[in-house]
Amino acid sequence: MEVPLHDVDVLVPKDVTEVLRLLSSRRGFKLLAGGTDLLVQLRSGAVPKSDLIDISGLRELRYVKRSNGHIAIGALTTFSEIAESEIVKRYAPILAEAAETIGSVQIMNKGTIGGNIINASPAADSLPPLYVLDAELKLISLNGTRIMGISDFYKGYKMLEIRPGELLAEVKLRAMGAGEVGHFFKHGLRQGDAISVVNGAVILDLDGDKVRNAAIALGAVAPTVVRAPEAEKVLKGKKLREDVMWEASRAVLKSISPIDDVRGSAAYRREMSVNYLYMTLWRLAKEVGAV
Amino acid sequence: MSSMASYVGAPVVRRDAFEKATGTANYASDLFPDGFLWVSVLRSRYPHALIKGIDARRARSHPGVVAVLTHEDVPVNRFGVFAKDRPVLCDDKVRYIGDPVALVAAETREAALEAVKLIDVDYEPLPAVTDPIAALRADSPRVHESGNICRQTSLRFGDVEEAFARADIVVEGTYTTGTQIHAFLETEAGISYLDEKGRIVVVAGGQSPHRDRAEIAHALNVPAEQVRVITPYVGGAFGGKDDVTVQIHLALVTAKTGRPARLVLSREESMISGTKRHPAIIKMRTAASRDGRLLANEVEIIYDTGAYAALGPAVLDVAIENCNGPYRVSSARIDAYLVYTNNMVASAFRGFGAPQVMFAMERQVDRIARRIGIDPIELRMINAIRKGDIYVFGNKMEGSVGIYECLKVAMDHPIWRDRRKDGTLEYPWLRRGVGVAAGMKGYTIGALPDRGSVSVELKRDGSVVVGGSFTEIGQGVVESVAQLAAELLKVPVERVQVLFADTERSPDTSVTSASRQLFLAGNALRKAVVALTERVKDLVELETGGRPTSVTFTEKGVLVNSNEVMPLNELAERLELRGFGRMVIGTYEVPKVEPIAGTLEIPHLFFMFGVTMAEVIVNVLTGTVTVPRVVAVIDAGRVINPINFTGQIEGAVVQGLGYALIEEAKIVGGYLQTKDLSTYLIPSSKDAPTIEVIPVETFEEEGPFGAKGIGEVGILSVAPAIVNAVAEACGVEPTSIPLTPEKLYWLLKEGGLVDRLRGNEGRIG
Repeated sequence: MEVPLHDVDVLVPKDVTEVLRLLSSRRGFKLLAGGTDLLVQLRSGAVPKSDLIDISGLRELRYVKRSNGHIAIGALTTFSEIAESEIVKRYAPILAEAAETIGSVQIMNKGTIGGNIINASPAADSLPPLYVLDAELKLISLNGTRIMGISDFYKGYKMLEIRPGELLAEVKLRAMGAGEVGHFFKHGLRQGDAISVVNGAVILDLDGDKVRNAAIALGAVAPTVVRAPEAEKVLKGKKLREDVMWEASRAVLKSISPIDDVRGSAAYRREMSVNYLYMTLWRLAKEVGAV
Repeated sequence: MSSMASYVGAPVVRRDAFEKATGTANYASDLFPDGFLWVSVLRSRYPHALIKGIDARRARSHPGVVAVLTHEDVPVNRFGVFAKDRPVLCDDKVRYIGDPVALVAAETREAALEAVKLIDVDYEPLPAVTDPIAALRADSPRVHESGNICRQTSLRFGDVEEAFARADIVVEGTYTTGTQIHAFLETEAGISYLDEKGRIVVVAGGQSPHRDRAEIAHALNVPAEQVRVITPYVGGAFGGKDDVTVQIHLALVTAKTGRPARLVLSREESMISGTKRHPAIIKMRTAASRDGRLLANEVEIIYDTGAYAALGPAVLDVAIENCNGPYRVSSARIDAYLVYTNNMVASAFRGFGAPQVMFAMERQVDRIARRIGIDPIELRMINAIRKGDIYVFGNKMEGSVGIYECLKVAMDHPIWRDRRKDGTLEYPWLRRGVGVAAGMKGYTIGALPDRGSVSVELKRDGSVVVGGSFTEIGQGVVESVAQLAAELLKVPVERVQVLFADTERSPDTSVTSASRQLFLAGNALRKAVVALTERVKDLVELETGGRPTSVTFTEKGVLVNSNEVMPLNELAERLELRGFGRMVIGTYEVPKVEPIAGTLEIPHLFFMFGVTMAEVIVNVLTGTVTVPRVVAVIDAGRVINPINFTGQIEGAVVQGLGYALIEEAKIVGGYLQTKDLSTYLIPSSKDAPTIEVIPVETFEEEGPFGAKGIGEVGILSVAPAIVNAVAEACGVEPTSIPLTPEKLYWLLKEGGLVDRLRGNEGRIG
C-alpha cells in the first residue's frame, strides 16, 4: 500500500557547508540525491518515512577530475556524466561500462554515484568497478574529513561505516595502467534496464598473455560486493589458457554466498558467477590475442 | 467512377497520432472533475479467508473521509459476464489478494490512503488453493461453494483409438505456460459524476461501454438508462479491461455520496488485482503417419482461472477450438478444465486462450518433424487446412483460410532458406537457430450471438459523423472505420468525424475484443450506407414521384439514376427539409452456426491465421536467449490501413516475445511476488527484434472490403516459434514458458551443453 509523502519536509541547502551544518544539527533526515531508489523505497514503505535534505542541486559535488594517477569523482556526478566522461572512458573504462548499463536513460540522468554507494544494494552496478579500482571514499563533516577504502565502508548487508553528520563527498579511484585491461559484466533478465542477478568487474595486468596481477569483484552474490582473492591467485603468474580461465572461474565460488530471491536462485547465481567470470576472461584473452 | 478503393489499403496517418504524441490526448486517468473524491480500495490481506466482521468506524471518523463503503452498501453484490460469481465488495470471504473489501472516498488522496489502513477486518484465514491440479482433488478446500471446477468440457471427434493404433509416430508432452500480465501503459482508471438529470456517468478505460453499463446497473440495481458510460482513449487494454475494473466502484461512490469520484489504480494495485492470462498445463499426445500426416490428437487442458470465472468459460472454449492447430487432424479427444484457485483472476488477454495451446501443439508438430526428418514448414503444409475443409469438429471452414499461403511465403523467405548457413558467432558459447510456428484463432465471438450497430449522420455541410461503441484502445479502429466510411461515401477521410464509445451517443457495437471490431463496425457501416441509399430513394421518390433505380456515392456527391448528382450538403439539406432525418443506423449480425454440444462459442465461422519465424541466439553459459529477427507472415484478409496493421503485428510480436522469454509472474502461496515493473519484466526496446511483417492478403468474402480481424493473430505463434528455434539451436526440448534464462540454463546443463564447454580445458586458442 502506497505511503503518502505529502507531509515530508524537504530542505534545500545552498552549498555543502550548509548541508554539513544541517547534518550536525538535525537528526532523522535523509539525503536526497538522484532519488531513483529512495523515492521508490519511501513510497512503498520499504524505508520509513522521514524528512529530506535535497542535495541534488549542489553543483560543487558534480565533477570528474584527474590528479596524480587518480580519478576523483564528485558524489553527485550522474551516471550519464560518468558514462560520457572522457577521463573515465580512458582511465577507468570498466566504470564507464557499468554506468552505461545501470538502467534506463532516465535513471542514468538522475542516479548519482554517491547515491549508488550509500543505497548499498549488493547488486549496485557501480560497486564492482570501484572495488577493483581500489576506490577511496571521502567522508566530510564539520569535524573534518575521513578517507576510507570501499571494502571497509560496507560492514554487512546495507550496513555502512558512516557516522552521523558525515556526507560522502567524493570517490577516488586509481587510473588503470598501461598493461591493464578489464571489463564490467552484468547478468540481467532482459537486454536493457534490468537489475543485476550477478554483476562484476575484472582487471588483468598483462605481460603479453601472462597475467601479472588480477583484480576481480562480484556483486549480488553476497551481502556486500566481494573481491575474489582465490580466483585472482589462480590467475597470477599464469598464461590465459582455457584450463586456467576455468580454474580461476571455479575458484570464485570460495568468495561468494548467494541467496535465493525473486530474480534467481542461489544455485543459479553460483553458476553465473563462474560462467561470467570465464566469459569475461575469455573476452579479455581474445582482445589481447591469447585465444 | 473507379471501383478501385482509394482509402482501403491506404497508409493514412491516424487522427489521434499527433495529440497522443504531443500529450494533449485525454485518457481517463487525465481527468479530474470539479470537487471530486479520491477513492482508495482496501484489498484482501489473505489469498483465502472468511470475513468475520468489518469495523470501519476508525476510518469513517478519519479527517477528510466522506464515505467508507462495504458490501452492505452494494445493492446486488455479484457481477461477471459468464457467471455472477464476483463480489463488488467482499462479504462472506476473500478469494485472492486483490479482492476488494472496502472503499474509502475522501477529500484528499492522502486521507483516502491513510483511512484504508484504519479499516479493521476480522479474517479467519483458510488454506489457500494455489495448484490447479490439487484443486481438482475431491479433498481440496473449496474456493467457491459449488466446488473448484468452474467449467469442464469433454469432446470426442473421430476414431482416436484407431488413429493411434495405425500411427507410425506418437509424440507426447506436458507443456506449461505462465501467468502473463497485460502491463498496459495506463492502469485501470476512471472518474464518475452525476449529470444534470441525476444519472450516473462513468468515464473509464474499458473495452465495452454498453456491457460495462449493464454490469454497473445490475450491481446498483437501477435501470441501465440511469447510467451512462463513456470510454475515452484507453492507454492499452489487451483484454485486461474486457471485464469491469474500476467502473462499479466509481459508480457506487457517486451513487452513495452524490459527489464526483476518481479512481486510478497504482501499478502495484493493477498487478495484484487485475486479470491475467490463464496459466495452463496442457498434456498432448499426437499421432502422425510416416509420410507426415497428423492423424489424431489427445489433449488435456487445465486452465487456472484464479478466484473467479470472469471470461474464463469462453477462454476455455477458444483453447479447445484451437488446440489442434490449423491442420487437418482427423480425430481428437479433448478434456478441458477451468479451475478455481486462490491465485490472481485470469480472463481475456490477446489470443484469449489460444496462445497456450498453440505453444503446446506447435512444439508437438516440430518434434514430429524432427522425428520424421522433414522440413517443419513442409510438414505443416502437408497438413494445412484449406477453405471449404471440414475441420475436426465437423464444422466447415467457410471463411478465408490463408494458412497454406502463409506457409508458402515462409518457406521461400531468406530467414528460412538460409537458416542453416554458417554464420560466425562472436563467442564459442553462443548458438544460433531459426524456428517456425503457425497459429490460428477464430475472430468474432463464434457461436455466441454477435451483433453490432453503427450510425451514420450526414451533416449539413456535407461532412459525415460515424458513431459506434467500439473503443480506441490503441489499435487504431477509429481511423480504420473513418477510412471505410470515406471509401463507402466517397468523401475525404478528414470529412469523417468518428464518435465512439459513449452509451448515450453511440449505438451498441458490442465488445471491442476477439479481433472483431473492424469486421463488425465495418459491416454495420456497410448496412448503414445501404440504409442511407434507401433513404435517398425515398427522398427522390417523394420529390419527383418516381423511385430511382440506382443511387451511388461519388466524389461529387450522390449520383441518382446516373444523371443527377446531388452534393452531400445538398442531400443533407433536402433530407432535413423533407423530414427524413439525416441519420441512419446499420446493424450487422455475424453469421453463425449452432454451437457444438457442451460448448458456448465453438465453432467460429471466421478465422485468422499466421506464421512466425524467429531467429534466436542462445548463450549456453547463461541461458539467455536473444531474438535478433522475427518474420511474421499474416493472413490479414484485405489490409485496410497498412500502418495500423504493421503496428498491431509488431506490438503483438514483442508481447509474444515477452510471453515466451521474459514475463514471469511469480505467485507463491497465492501472493504475487512480482508486483512492479522492476521484478515483472516486460521486453525493453533492446529486447525487441527487427520485425518484418508480411501480409498475405486473402479476401474474406464476409468482411468489409475483404478485411478480417488482426488484433490477436500476431501473438499466437510467437512463443512456439522462439522456443522451436531454441530447440533447433541447442537440441534441447523446452516444454515451459516463459523460458527464462535460469529455466533454460538448467535444461542446457542437464543436456550436457555447459559441461561440454567447460571441458574445453587444455585447448590453447
